[in-house]
Amino acid sequence: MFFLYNLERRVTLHPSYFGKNMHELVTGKLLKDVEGTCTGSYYIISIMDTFDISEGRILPGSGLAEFTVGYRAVVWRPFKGETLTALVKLIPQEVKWDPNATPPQFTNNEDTTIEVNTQVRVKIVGTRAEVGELWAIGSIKEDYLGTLQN
Amino acid sequence: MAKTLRLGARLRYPITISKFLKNHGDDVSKQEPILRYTFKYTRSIGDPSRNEEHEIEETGVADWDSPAEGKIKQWRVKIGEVIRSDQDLVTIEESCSHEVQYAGLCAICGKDMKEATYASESLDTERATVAMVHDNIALTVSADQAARAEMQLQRRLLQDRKLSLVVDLDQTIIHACIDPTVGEWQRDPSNPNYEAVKDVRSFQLDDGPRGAASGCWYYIKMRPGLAEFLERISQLFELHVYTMGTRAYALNIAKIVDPTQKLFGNRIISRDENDSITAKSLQRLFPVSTNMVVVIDDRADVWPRNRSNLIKVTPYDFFTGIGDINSSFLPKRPNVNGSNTTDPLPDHERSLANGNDENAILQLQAEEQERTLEKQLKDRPLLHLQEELDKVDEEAERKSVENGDSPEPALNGESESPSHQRHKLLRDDDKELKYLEQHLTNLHHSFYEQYDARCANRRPGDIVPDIIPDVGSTLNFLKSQILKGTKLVLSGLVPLDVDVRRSEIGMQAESFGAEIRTRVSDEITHLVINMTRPRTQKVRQAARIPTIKIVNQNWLADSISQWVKLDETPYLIQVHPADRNAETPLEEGSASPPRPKITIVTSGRQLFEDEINDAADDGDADDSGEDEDEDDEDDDEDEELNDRYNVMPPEIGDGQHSPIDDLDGMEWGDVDKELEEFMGSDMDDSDFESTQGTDHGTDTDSEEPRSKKRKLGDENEEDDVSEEAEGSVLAKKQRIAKARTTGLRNVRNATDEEDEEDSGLPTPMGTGDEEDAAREANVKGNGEASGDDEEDDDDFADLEAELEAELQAEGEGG
Repeated sequence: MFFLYNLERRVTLHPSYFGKNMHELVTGKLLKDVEGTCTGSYYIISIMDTFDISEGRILPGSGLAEFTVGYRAVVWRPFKGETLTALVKLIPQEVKWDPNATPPQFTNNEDTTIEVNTQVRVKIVGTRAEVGELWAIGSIKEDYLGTLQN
Repeated sequence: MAKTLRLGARLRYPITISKFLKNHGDDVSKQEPILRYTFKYTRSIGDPSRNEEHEIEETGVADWDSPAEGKIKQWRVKIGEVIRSDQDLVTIEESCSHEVQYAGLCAICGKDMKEATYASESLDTERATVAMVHDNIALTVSADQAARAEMQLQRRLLQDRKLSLVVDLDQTIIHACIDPTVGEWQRDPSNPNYEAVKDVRSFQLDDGPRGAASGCWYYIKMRPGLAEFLERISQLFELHVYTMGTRAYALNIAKIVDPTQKLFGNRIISRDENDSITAKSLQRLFPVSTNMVVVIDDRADVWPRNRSNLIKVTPYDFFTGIGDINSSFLPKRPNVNGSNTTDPLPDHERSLANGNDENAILQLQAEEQERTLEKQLKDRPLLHLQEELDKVDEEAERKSVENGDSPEPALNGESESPSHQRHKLLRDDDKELKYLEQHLTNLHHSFYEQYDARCANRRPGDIVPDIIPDVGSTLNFLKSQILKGTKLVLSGLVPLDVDVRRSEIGMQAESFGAEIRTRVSDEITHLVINMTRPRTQKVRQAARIPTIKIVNQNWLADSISQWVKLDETPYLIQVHPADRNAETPLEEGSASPPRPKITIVTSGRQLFEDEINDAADDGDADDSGEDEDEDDEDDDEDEELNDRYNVMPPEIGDGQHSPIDDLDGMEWGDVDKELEEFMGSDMDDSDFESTQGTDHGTDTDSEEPRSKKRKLGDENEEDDVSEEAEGSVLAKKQRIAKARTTGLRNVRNATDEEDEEDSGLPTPMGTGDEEDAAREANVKGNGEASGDDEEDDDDFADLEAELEAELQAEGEGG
């Protein structure tokens, strides 16, 4: 599920960047560091805006300036029981499939075929989070789940 | 899925079951108590300071928590029962047995498998440990599931009458390099290599941070006839790719080799998905049975567990001198050719063999690969080689056109067969795939022949694992017929410290039915030698047995590659005239049982006589004077020692039973004694003369043929005459020997034994050792004049100097 989430992050800036457009640089660095990453419980999809960039504080020892940036981001987190649309990345060998088709595909009967890059609607039955990655198991074994035709 | 739970070893046995908290048919969840039991324990009460402490027995009550969830199916114990040890407790019908898991989640019920609880002794992840999918290691299945999946696969293959074929990429079906020179040659039609490289495919790959080598172009040359080969072979086999390259690399190659994805599909496994960084294993893909799997790879050593399923192909070496760009992750290729100098293994390689600290090693290897690649980018080895080649070309243009079989100096180490044109660096004449296709077709044929035979008295469609023949043993059988009955001795092909039977080439030859022997005898059918070293002792020994065919290593390599015992004629080695000559005396010596002691001396002499031919290049045949003779002998001794030195590697590699240093010492001791003996004969001028005098009649007889023999030897002619000559020389030596002390003869006997048995007493090393010399002199002194000793010493030093010079020269030359 997608959320709009207020977050905060400390961004450091090298002294050579100190100047007029410091705030843009800080925002740029924030985008680069954060967007598309996984915190372990959700993915940060996109940063909408930064609403609060604090004054820079020089870190003793290194000379880097540290800014505390408040920002708003679109995050996505899978929940158990949630239904969502996904792309097929991998078809395990074990499932009954048609090896003679090119590329190999998973066929249960004549009208549905699942191959790599097919869109399927799945219901998440379990999730597991690790540092920097999220895993989820989805099921298509219910009504209205499975391949999305066209 | 029913699962039977056991009580576990941690309880305080004996226990008494007092109550079932859950009954048949009840649902239980993890960590829920399902059983109550009582147990006895003792504890001490009272005041220890007043010594009133005593132990009392008490009864404790405890609950047993379920480690699994599901429905209770059957209790395996009764209420009131006393249980004394771990045993089955209850059978639970599980709602999900978690047989397929993905990244720590059950792929069936979605539960987290990595959760650990106090109640269960093992993690749920242990229920599914087998990763058998090519392109993902996160997906694991249970052993049962794996067996089912594999049975399904085998059934499907049997229906299609196919087998599985695992194909290696680098140097097996393609050759890759990143030398930008290839790109330049491709764009330049005037380049001599243009023809060869014009169909080289390329792709740009940016796999990870890698410095200069990042985002570079890879140039891929497909083995000649590859497309047709794969097309035809895919009718008989289901193809898999198994490479030690990265996944991105493997996918790119697959795109080139198999653009429609019809051949390999997604059956591609790379080092990213392999569990080991040094070895490939069929069990990674076929965890239960490899009965229907064949492997083709250019390296046998990376398949330690699956040698029987492997067809080793000749490495495809198109971009000369590049090798395998992904090989830094593999153990170093054993150097069979012998002409390259093998670098000692880097330290981390060695620790790799011990398997410790894998991450650090992986890091090191990644760095090493990076370095190799960067070096290739910078150094452009191909360009240099071509430049060198051009130079050679200019010099020997005429010669190179007509005389194709002289080995290329610049490429000697890499070229498979020495015959090729000189004017271009890259050749495109590889025929391996043709042979390979034949082999695979044969193999497929005989596999299904067996299968049909076994199926004949069964109902169709009834496939059980034990009627599937093992393709590995079929392959072994086919291979073992090829060189059956040949008995090989290898010379100069296996490094000193390696056991021949465990060397790559030895194992190959044995798998093809050849018998590997370590020493030359008349049972031997072939002596396989290194072309660059055609004058080892084994060659000399073999030259005297006419039934032994002395061939170069290409005979063996080609026979193995073509699965045919090839005609030896084109591979026969021209035995050096001197060596050939040598055959007579030895034969005679060994054929004359009444003089066993002499035989040994003869073997020494024989070598020595060969060398006369060598050494006496100045005054060839016409010198029959005594002085000349003696000089010759001096030279000879040196030469012989040299030769022995040269021979030592294979000799020592030979000694399977005796430790190498032992042998080493013995060899030197041998030389030592020989030298000693010579010193005696040469120095005692008067002695010698007198001996000659006494036997003058026979001696003059011998003198003539001997000189004649030399001439003949040089001209590489018949040896009949020399037989006599050698005999007389022998006689002379015998006389000399007789003239000497018994002590020396004893020494000679020792030599004898060593030669015969290969197991002598270790003798101190170093021929020129002062003490040694003195000691030996003393031994000799038993029967000889003490004045001789001094003379001996003097000459010994001279000899030593000469010897050292020779050795050095030899060392530099070789």
